[in-house]
This record gives sequence, C-alpha cells and structure tokens, in this order.
Amino acid sequence: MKYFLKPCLFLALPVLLLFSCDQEEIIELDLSGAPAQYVIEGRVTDEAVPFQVRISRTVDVYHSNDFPAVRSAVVTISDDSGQVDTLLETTPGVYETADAIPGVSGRTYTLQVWVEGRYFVAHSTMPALVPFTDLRAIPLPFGGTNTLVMTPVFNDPAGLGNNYQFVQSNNGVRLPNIFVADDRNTDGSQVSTLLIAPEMETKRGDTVLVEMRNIDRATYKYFVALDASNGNGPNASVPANPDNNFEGACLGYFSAYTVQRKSVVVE
Amino acid sequence: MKNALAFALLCWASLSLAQSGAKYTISGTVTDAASGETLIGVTVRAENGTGAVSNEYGFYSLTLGEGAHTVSFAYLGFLATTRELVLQQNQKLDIALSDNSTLLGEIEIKAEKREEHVERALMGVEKINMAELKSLPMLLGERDVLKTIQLLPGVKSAGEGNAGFYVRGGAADQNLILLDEAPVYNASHLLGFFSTFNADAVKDATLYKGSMPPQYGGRIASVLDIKMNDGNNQKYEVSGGIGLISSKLNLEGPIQKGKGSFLVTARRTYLDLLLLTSSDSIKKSTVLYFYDLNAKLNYQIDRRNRIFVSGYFGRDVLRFGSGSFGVNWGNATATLRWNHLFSDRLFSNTSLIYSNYDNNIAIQFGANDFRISSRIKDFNLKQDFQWYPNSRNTIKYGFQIIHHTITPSSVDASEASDLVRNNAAQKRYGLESAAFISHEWQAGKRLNLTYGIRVSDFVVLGAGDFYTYDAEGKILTTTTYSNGDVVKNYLVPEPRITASYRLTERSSIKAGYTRNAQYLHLLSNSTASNPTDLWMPTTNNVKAEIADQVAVGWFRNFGAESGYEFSVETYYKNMLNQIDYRNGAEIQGNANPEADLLYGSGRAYGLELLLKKKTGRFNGWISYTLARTERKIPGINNGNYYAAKQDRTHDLSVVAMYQLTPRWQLSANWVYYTGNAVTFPGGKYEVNGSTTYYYTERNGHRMPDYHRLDVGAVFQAKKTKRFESEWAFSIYNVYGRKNAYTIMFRDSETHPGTTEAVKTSLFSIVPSVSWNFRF
Repeated sequence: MKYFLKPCLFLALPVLLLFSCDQEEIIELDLSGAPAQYVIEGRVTDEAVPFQVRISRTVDVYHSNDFPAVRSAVVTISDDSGQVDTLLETTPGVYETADAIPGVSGRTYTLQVWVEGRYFVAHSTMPALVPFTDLRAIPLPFGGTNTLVMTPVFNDPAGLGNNYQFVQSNNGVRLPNIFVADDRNTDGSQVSTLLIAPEMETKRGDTVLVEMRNIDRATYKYFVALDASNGNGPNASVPANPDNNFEGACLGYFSAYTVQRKSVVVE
Repeated sequence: MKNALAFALLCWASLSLAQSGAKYTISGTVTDAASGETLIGVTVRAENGTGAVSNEYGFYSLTLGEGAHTVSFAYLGFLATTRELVLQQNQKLDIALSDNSTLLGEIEIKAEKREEHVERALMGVEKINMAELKSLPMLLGERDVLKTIQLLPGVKSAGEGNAGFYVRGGAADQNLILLDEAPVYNASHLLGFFSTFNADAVKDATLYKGSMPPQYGGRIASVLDIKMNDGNNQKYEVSGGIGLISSKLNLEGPIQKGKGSFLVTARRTYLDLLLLTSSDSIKKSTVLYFYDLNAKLNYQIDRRNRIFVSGYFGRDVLRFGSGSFGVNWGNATATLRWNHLFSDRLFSNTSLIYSNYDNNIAIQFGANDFRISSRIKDFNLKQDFQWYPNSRNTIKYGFQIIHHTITPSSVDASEASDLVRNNAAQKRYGLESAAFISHEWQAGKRLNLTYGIRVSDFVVLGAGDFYTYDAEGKILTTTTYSNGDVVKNYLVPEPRITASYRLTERSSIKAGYTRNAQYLHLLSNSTASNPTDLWMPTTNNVKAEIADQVAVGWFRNFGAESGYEFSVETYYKNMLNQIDYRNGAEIQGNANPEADLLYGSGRAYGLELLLKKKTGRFNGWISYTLARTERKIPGINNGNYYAAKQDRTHDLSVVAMYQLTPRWQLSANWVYYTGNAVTFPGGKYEVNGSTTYYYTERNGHRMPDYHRLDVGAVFQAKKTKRFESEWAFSIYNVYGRKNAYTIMFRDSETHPGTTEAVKTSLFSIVPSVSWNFRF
C-alpha cells in the first residue's frame, strides 16, 4: 500500500507549492568531518555467474562521486554444506569467485571480509524460488493522466515469510527505484505488484525488463530502510543508515537471492 | 505522603474557618451588553479586595459579609462597572458590560483590577485576545488562533506557514486542543497551512503551557481550550468576510431575546478556482478545498439551568484527475452541555461529547476501486462541579470518561479489484477515565495556592490480537481477547500544584509542579503534517506517556496604570515513554506498526521572557524563549540524548499594533528562530548502483535560521448603525526572506558526478486583502 500513498503525497506537495511561490536554491552547508566507512555489497545468486563482492569507502558529501575501491582484502564466501570459496580481486575493489557455480535455495551463505586489520561477517539464506508468472503494463491515473505502470504477477505460496525485490530496466537503462514487497497482506494469493516510479515514465514501445528476486527478510528490511532514507520528500523517514546483516560496523548488505527475468515490449 | 495529607487537611480546615459571621453570596452571569455573549475571565472584586473570576460560562460567585459593598466588574476591552449593594440575603446580580471600542486609546480600566497577572496562582497560561488576533497580519489574510499563539513565549511554529505548534519541547500531538470541550485530533487544513478554527466564531482561546488545572488532561505538553461564540441573544446579525482564498459567513441571533441564541458560521476556500486558471491540465483537473461549519444553540431554561448544543464539521478534499484519485479528511464534533446551579455557590456542568476524525484515500482505476481509511471515534462524558464556599476558596471537582475506537489504516476494496485486497487492520478500543479535584485558595494576603490531583486511567479493551515482541520487533507471543476483555490497565496519579507569592503590590514569584499523562499517540515519520499520520492508542506495548514539569517564574507589572506586564518563567520537563520509529520503519499499510516502534525518554528545559504593553494606542509584546528539547531512545543515536526535531535554541517574536487614526490600525510582527534540528549526511557512498548518503548522528545539524516580517493594516470603512465593514490588508514576509522549508541532497545537474544541497522555500512576499462586514 505504501506504493500508493507515496505518490499521493508526492502529488499533494506540488499542488501546495502551486499557490506558494516555491523556489529552489543551491546552498553550501558545512558537512565535512565524518571518518570514512567501509561499504560492502555482496551477492550470491542462483544463476551461473560468479559470486560478487564490492568493497569501497564513503567520501565527503561535496567530494565527487568516485568512491575509492578498497583493495587487497581477503574475502571468502562459505555455505552450510562446508564449501568455502576465496574470492579474487578481478578489478579494483571487486572480488569474485573463480568459477560460476549457482547458489542453492535453502542454503545459508556466510561472507567474511578481512581488510586493513578489520573483520566483517554476514549471513544470508537463499529463499525458495517463487515462479514469476506474468508481466503486464497497466495504466494508472496519477495526476490526471494515465501513467503506465509495470506489474509483475506471481502466486505467493501459503505461509508468511516470502520477500521479493524487483529491478526494472527500460530500454536497457536500469531505474534507480527500489521495489520490495513482502507477503504480510497478500499471503497465499495471486499478487500483482505495482512498480510505481512517478518520475520515470514508461511509454508505449519501450522494452521493459523486470528482474524478480526472492530475498531474505534482512535484505527486505535493508531495502525498505534504504528507500525511506533516500526519499527526501514529505513522506520520507528521518534519515538514518539502514540496519544491515553485518557484524562489524560497515555500510552495505549481503544478500543471497534467486533471479528470474521477464521482458515485454509495452503495447 | 503523610506531610501531604496533613497539608491537605490544613487547607480544608481553612475552608470552614473562613465561615464565621453572616455571609451572603452574590452570583450571576457576566455578559457583553451588545451581544449577550457571556464573558470568560471577568474580574469581580469587592471593596475589601476579595474577588472572583467568571468561569468559562460567564458565571461568578462571590461570598461577602452582611452589609454594604461596592463590587466592581472589569474585563479588558470593556468599560469597568461598579455596583453598590447592601447584602442581607443571597443575591443574584447579572452584569452586562459595554465594549469600550468607541473610546479607543483611552485607559478606562482602573489599575488595581489589572494585577491579576501577578496575583493568581496560574503559570504558563496565555489568553489569546481575540481583538488582537483580528488586527495581526496573517498569511493570505486568514486570521488564525493557532498562528497567533505561536507568537507567544514557549510556543513554536511547526514550520513555514504552519498551524501546527510545539509547546515547551513537546511534539505537535502532545497538545490537547479542545473546541467547546470536544477534542480535535487534526487541528489543521491543507497539510497544516490553516487551522480548523474559524477565528470569527471563536470567543476565547486559552493556552496552558504548564500548571494545567486538574480538569484538563490527556496530553503531556499543553492544553488549548477554545470556546466558540454562543450567538447574539439581543438581535439578529449577519457578518462575514471575503478573502483571497476563502470566504466566511456568520449568522446569529436570539431564539428568544435575552434567553437563548443560535449561531451558524461557515467558511470555504476556493483554491481550486485559482487552479482553474492554470494552463497545466493536471492542475486544472485538480480539486482542492476545505470547509468548516460551526453551529451552536443555547437556551436559558430558567435561572438555574442552561443548555448548549454545538457542533463542528470540517473537511479537506483533494482530488486529481476526475475523481480517480482522491483524499479527504476532517473532524466532526458534537457537544451537548447542561449548566446547572445547585445553589448560588455550586455550579455544575455536564457535557456529552462526540468526536470523530477520519481520513480517506479513494483510488479508482480499471476494475480496481478501493479506499484506505483510518478513523478515531470518541464518546465522552464529562462532569464538572465548581464550588465557591467563600471568597477565598474555590473547589473544582469532577470526572470524565471517554470511550475511544481507533481504526488504523485499513483497505476496503471492491469485489472486482484484482490488484488490491481487503486488509482490515484491527480496531483498537480504549476507555480513558479521570477523576479530579482542585482547590484555589487565597491562603493569605500575599499567598495564593492552586493545588489538586487528577487520577487518570486507561483500560486497553478487546477485542483483538495483542502481541509481545523481541528486541528486533519480531512477534514472540499472540494473545487473542474478545469483545470487552481488559487487556491492560494503566493508572496514573497526576498531582499538580502552583503557588504565587506577592512580593509587592505589583510583583510576585510563582512556582509550580505538574504531571500529565497521555494515552493516545500520533505516529508521524514525516516532516510535513500529513492527514495520514497515524494515531495509536496505548496498548500492552505502547505505554502511557508521562511528563513531570516544574516551573518557577517572576511576574511584574509596571508603568502608569500597570500598562506593562513583564514575566520570566523557567521550566524543566521530564518525559517518559516517548515513542519513535525504528530506522527504516514502514508506517503506511503496516498492520502491525507496534513492531516498528522504539521507546525512550525525553527532557526539555527553557527560559521564557515576555514583555507586554497592554494599553494605549501603541501596544504589543516582545517574547523570547531560550530552550532545549532532547530525546533519548535506545536504538537511536547509540542510545545518547539527541535534539528533538522541534529543538530550537532561540525563538523571538516582536508584535506591535498601532492605532493610527480611529479608522486605521497598523500592525507588524517579526519572528526569528534557530533552525530545527535535522539530520544531514556526513558522507556518501554507492550501493545498489545509486549514490546513497551516510549519516553520522540523529538531528546533529541545523536548518538555517528563520526570520520574517509581516505587516498589516485594518481600515474601518464608514460605520452606520445598520452596517459596518472593514478592509484588512497584509503583507507576509515583507522583505522576501527565502526561509528554508526543506533541504535535500541530489546529484548535481550542472556538475555531473557531484552532490549539491538544495534549499526549497515556500513563500516569498505574499500580499493579501480581505473585506469583512457586519450588519
């Protein structure tokens, strides 16, 4: 439901601004001084691609958007069957397994990172795959015009605890929006999730690719928090770093997830 | 405890000791001679200095010895009246005071009547002068009670143009706002820009920032008690106003002259008409308005009985694109009151109150047709007694019972909806009750004392499932209760005491201690005032909020005829069971919001200065507040104290009004305050393919300082016996200061690959004009 409320307030604000004279101005703030933090983003999927871990560092807000790679870390991913892989640094700050063996649903993966005298560890269990049955584009009336909204369809299995993430790309360009859903209100039924991205218009003729992931609960909560803290609008939460599944203070997340894709040309 | 008991006995003994000699009571109602409206807070005083104050229904009772007396009646803005009488029996004396507006600029009230400010054992109380309110400049010319109180010390605006307010470090939901005794849950329109109170219908507004009398309770920061006009019982009257964004109409008149009257007022905005002029088709098809309707009826059945029926209904409507997407929200209240005099010294009021707040979001597309709604519904019974045993003592006691039904946001979808399902969140029920007693005691020539206790109780009622949670917010146990089962009971004794000691004729020191409990909590994660903010009752997990406040003050009147008032108050407040969201909490459509809550404590302290010039052609005030408000919640900011968002170090208001000629009145106000505490990033990083901000400390930064000057002028057009009208002009933000409304961070468009901070400001210079009439 938050998918509905967010655009609702998103639209309410401009209307208010209409009778005011809203004005934007770029200002300089004193925001320096936070010590750099490690950022670890790790993924294990059920596709035949190497497991990948990216390690970087935070920079000051007014620094340019090139984030220093953290090199020469020792990175391993192990699973509860006893398999241990040591990852190799393939490009600066990017660590990958040598072979491309798919991850397995139900298995718990452990990521360990040793870097510059620090140690970080996180666990993630790859959930069971829920089949991605259909992808539709439906018109939604926002702001008086019909906006096309992509709607993946799937049958949520009975029993609480299924969490989903969707990644949408239009004509090969990935949307930055975070789409996650859980089954608290939809347990055991056919679900059509609306991927509402008010600022990104999907038009007829676009080739739209949607990747559906089954994610674990910690990853779901991480992305919900990340989304809330990113939103600067009136419905945004008090900004905070999302809680993650790492032991040892760092930013980022480690997720073991399943991957399915569907692509349509919007008619 | 023993000492307290002994003290109480002593105080009670004073009641009977004072009873010697033949005593008789003068009692009656004080009204405005022109309209018959009862006057609240009129000082009634005998020649020997003993006195009384008319209550919220204009009733007063003064007991004096047998013999000749001179009794005077004084009220700001009215001509003082004196009556000579010889008391040989209890006597009824109704008084009608005349407005002194015909004698503007002249000082008519005798000085000794104006020392109430220093004398009474009341602290942290601000009475809003409705005449002042009408002359102050306001945003878009909308006169507003809530925005006027923001100019007082200890009261802070919730933001640019916002009707929401913070009192002494409390949050917006910690203010109890009463309209004719009915609690109003959302006191603003249009996401906070206008208050729900139509200023033309308001008779009296009193704000208690601390030392709330025990008859009030249920919120921990303040009480704003708003009384509506009763309606003119002398003659029929039509008044109204046409403004830039709204128009008002007010009809009132006698049902039976001098015995009963009615009043109907209505207000509607026409913002959507402005939208029609827009070239943008989306804006054109947007519907956006609010309206208020107040209606009231009162009738004096006989000398001892009077009844009042009143109601308020207000609604905001916002719709996009031919009804396919709409939001509406509003309050409705209804109050039935019965004043009864058991004797000349015992006044009683019984109120039956219904209060409802709901918000609805309706969405329709394709086969989908659904509504997300939430609601609070209250039934409230209140009984107050006011006993005036003698001229030195007033005893107030009574009880109150409120039944709450709270429906958190639930989804109601039509059968054909294929994308959305019904999701009825559990209704929550609670029974809030309280009993109270207070004693106002003129303990000596110099010492006045008001003390008492309110004992409040909240019963969490079934039906419903109640949960317990682990530290991460995961459900541990579920217990199902059926209808009427008691889930949990909270009982909070709330002792309150305020003393004033007169140092000299015109100065006093005052001190007080107050405890308040709060059982309904507004969960708001956002920076704006959203209609979708969620009210949450106390449950087995959400505990009653409790605040203990101590305050000390010095009050001084000076100048010729005591035309100036000065006060200094300091306070310290400790707050328990404060609520905040976990990081990344989901609020909307969350059937189980308790799982996402964290609990902690808070503290607030400050210094408030107020210098006021009350009389003369030039009047106004300067108010300054130095304050700090902090929260400490395990799980936020590493469990350390952090500034609450409403923390503002300095807050200054300067208000000036000047009667230029009998027909022109000028006014100006200037406000300055330290920016709110906010969380800005301390760094940035890349995750999930996007630039993301890294935060070091909750509310560790500040918005830029805020300041603004408004000016206004009121021109009294030609006045005849039959018809009068006035023009009100105002300019909001005269020097066009671009105050920050929000500051956000984004990837720069002009310098790709870098970040910029963008300040958005809402209002630059906003001129407005409105025309008000009365016939």
